[in-house]
Amino acid sequence: MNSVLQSVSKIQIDRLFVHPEALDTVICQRVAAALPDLPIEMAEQTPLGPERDRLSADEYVRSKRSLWLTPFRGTFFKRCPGATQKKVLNCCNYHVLNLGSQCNFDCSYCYLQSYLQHKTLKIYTNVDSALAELREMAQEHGHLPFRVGTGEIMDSLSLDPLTLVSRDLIAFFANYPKWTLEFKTKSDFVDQFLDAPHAGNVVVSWSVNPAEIVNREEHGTARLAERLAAARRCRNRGFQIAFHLDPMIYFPDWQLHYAELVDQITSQFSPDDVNVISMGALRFQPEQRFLMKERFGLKSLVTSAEMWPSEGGKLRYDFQIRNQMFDFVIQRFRGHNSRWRIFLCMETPETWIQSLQQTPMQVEGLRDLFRPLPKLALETEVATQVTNGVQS
Amino acid sequence: MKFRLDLTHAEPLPIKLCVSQLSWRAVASWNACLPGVAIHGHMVVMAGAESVEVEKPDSTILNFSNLQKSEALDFFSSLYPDLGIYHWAHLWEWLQHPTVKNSFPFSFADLTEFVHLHISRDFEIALAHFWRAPASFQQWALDKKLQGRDLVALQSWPQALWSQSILEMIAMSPLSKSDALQCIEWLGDLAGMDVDFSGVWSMPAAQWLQQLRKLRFAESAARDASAKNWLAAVPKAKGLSWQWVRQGDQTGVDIRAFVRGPQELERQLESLKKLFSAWSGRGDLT
Ligand code: SF4
Repeated sequence: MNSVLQSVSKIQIDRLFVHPEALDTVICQRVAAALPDLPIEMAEQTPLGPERDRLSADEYVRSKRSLWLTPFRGTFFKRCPGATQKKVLNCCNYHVLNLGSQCNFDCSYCYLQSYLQHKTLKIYTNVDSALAELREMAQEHGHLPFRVGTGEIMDSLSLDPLTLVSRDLIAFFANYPKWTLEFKTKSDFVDQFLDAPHAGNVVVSWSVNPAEIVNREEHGTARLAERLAAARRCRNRGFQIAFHLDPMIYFPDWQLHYAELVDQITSQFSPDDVNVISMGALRFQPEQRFLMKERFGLKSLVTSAEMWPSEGGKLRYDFQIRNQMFDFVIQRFRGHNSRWRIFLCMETPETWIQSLQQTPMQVEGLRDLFRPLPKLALETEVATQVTNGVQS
Repeated sequence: MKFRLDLTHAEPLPIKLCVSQLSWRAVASWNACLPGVAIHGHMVVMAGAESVEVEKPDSTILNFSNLQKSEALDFFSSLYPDLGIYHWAHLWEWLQHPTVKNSFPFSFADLTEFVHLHISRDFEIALAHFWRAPASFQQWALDKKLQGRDLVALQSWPQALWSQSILEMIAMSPLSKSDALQCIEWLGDLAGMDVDFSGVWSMPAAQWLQQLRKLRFAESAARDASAKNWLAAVPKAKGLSWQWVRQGDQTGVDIRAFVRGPQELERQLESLKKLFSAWSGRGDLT
């Protein structure tokens, strides 16, 4: 338990707000116990002022240190954004379970900078409602290979030493061995769930980048060596692990640094240890660039990058540079062992074909990830509401 | 009581135009009163009535200080549905003024919250930047109907840029609004990246944007230039034209052909085959 306490001590929260309805929840009790010196401030409305279309730099920074525990009233579960852009992107059958939003880390490229409107970290305290949603879905689709991740608008584990939600989810997924639960993190906070009994269907995944990028662009996160050490601890306890080389950053000597990263992974793990390796190159919404420049200056490799508008509206590196980077990393992995399962995240079919010479459905070992699954009842319901102009 | 008017043709006008077109004359200058509003081309509505004189007999004068806060906000936002940065900047200053502050029914913060405008401390800084800009640039912002978001790039402008007369040069140049705003953003980027762009000013304004792009996207520009040179050296048959083009994140060859007969077509196909072999050998361009 010492290591969990150590993890808690690394989490920097300055203010703790609690919605009155959240006060008696297990999550609130766990967080309060983990942060005994922090007074609880009751907040029925969004704390620190109303939501805004865009936060200022100061508000954004402060939002990472203020935590609001509150119930969530909407649908917890949805399909990964890439899956809704099937025309322009190839996306895996990934579903997201949003158990909060905002992140206590501060990566310069983080897409939350174009997205967030509230001035705190949010953790939803009605996890039982989320699990009830999943249970309902399981009655119909429990036999299908759904992949469910919790790291879309927050880091899956960066606050987990406070909430311990990972343990609740792992216990829940133990009942549905066909389903896969994926935690996606840039932390090394895994000790809080390592002893939890699981059904072998939990993937703990790390976004990784060369140490140089981690140090320069991924502020507040665990260093590369710490992430890899945490991955080893998970592997040793029978958890599946995965790595996302995403977002890959183009910079002088990138080949040297990405080669080193691939070598670090391949020297510590075998293809059998690693569920999948995904890759994606830097991309962000154009309107996000101003806040990024203001917060990180133009010496950042992200803000100073040469980015171009792409199909779908995001700014991306030149197509040829992306191909070169993907190709380089794929060859490096293959040079070690041809059995590494690699796929491209949020990329167009053209890039898939250029880099892997195949679309995902043609790649052995990835086919299952990409095989179309039936629409969920919840998705159909939301789509109908949108068509009918009904607001939830 | 609700004040709602059909404001389809309402438009805040610069004082100069109010005077000439609407016989509307402000006793005090802009930053001592609110902008005039013309409704259906003849009625002029003014707020802060003590500071204006109206010569048109059918004009209406409204004094905001008689209204409750919520009524005043509601009415104000329907009168001025589309304020530019120029107006916001003046409003900001005007509403800070002690006499206005004490008598006016709402504050700047009330107003921005009411119209859901993103006015944070940062926006106030942007407004302050606006005040630092030379008068010619302020006037340009008014003429081009600049909104607050148009000047967001100024927020990351390093101090050193402000001491140069760049904004003045931009305001005096024939650049379009979008080109000028793009220049402002790239200038801020280049200054932050310590790239020297002083050579740009010796060129005609029409070339500024292109030169700044070359500096801001130096690596891509060099790659594109090298691809263009390579392509130009590949011989092509008569009637066939090609050029290296960039479309956002993609680059490639735009090929056009005009064929007058089968023999010419054959020669062009031969030419395309040569292009194919030459291109296949350039791994860096695929
Ligand atoms: S870890 Fe992920 S969510 Fe957190 S700041 Fe970085 S990119 Fe954003």
